Amino acid sequence: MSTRDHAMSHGNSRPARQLEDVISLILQWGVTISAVVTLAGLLMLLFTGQTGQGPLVFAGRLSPDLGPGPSGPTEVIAHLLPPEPGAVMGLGLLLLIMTPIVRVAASLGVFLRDRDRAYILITSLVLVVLAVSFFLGAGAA
Amino acid sequence: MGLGGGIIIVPFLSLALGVPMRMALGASLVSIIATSSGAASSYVADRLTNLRVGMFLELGTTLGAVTGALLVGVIPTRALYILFGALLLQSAYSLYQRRRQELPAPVEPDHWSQRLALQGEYYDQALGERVTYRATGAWPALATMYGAGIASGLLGIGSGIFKVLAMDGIMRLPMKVSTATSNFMIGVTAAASAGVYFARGDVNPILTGPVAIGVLVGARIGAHLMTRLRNTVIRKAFIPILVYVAAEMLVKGIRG
Repeated sequence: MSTRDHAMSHGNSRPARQLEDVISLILQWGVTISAVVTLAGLLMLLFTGQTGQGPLVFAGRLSPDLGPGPSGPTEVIAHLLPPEPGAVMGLGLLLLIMTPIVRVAASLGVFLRDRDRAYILITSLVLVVLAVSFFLGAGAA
Repeated sequence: MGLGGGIIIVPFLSLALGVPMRMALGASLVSIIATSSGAASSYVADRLTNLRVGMFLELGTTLGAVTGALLVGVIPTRALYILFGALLLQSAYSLYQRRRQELPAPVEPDHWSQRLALQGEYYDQALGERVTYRATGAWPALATMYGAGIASGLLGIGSGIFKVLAMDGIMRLPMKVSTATSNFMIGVTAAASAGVYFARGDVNPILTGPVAIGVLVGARIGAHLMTRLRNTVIRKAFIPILVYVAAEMLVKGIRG
């Protein structure tokens, strides 16, 4: 059970450390900002009692005929002025979904700088898949 | 734990609160992004996460997630529950066999693991020393990740269990690195299928908002606990969870 047979020492290079710090910050701030926005929407909902979209029963049980959510980012943004609680929460959730995507984009930036070809390719492909997911969903609606 | 908690959220919303299945799945996926990203940020800062392994395997998980999200309604969910339940039981058994192993035996890295530089090192707080490790089986792990992605998009779960098993069992990474890296990937995996659900109108903010916030609070506590525990303890805690989830899935699959 000794760890010493893992003799191959392979120190963390500096770029890798920077990447870790950037990613950690993006994740932390992404989640914090989206949580604050979502919470703001929730408080608006609790104080105004208006959802702005779809019926909702608050008798400890959600209505089975809960209306469909916004069908895309544009619909969320359209309901932000004047701000409706549902749209504000929607914005918060959209920011949450964007957080890992921004994280992938940031790592692509670091790999580009380091000219790490294998990882530039890998990370770009992941970004393409993520971008395509939004379009595929809209097509299937 | 490398688990997103979706396995609990979906049955709770759909069975206990009567939320339509697709909307429960959407809410669960978005909440998973919150848990995963919250915990991932501290694992990454603690240098437990292997970013290269994560990025590479995300190729598989995101493709799988989109596939899974599009397959909702096409494939009978019952069949999948039974399949995954059986798979989990088998995995629990293989984890049980290696329950005393604190760190994996040194492995000979395969060509691709070497080329993609999938090795790494971390400081183990419980052991009080630096641990260096190498990886193997890059392609089999990637294929498993595609399956894990499908499960995620289709069942609204993070499928962290499958991710951990692929890295611990196939790539032979230390358990802590596997759980931290799994957590790291769950966010991107869930974002890929959440994109499909959102664009389809299956993410209702009124429902998802409160769920996501509640789940976030719990995640913070778990992340701080894990770095202080031993790999063997984490593995032993993992086994009963696997068995429980497997039983739950089998029952759901059989009862429908």
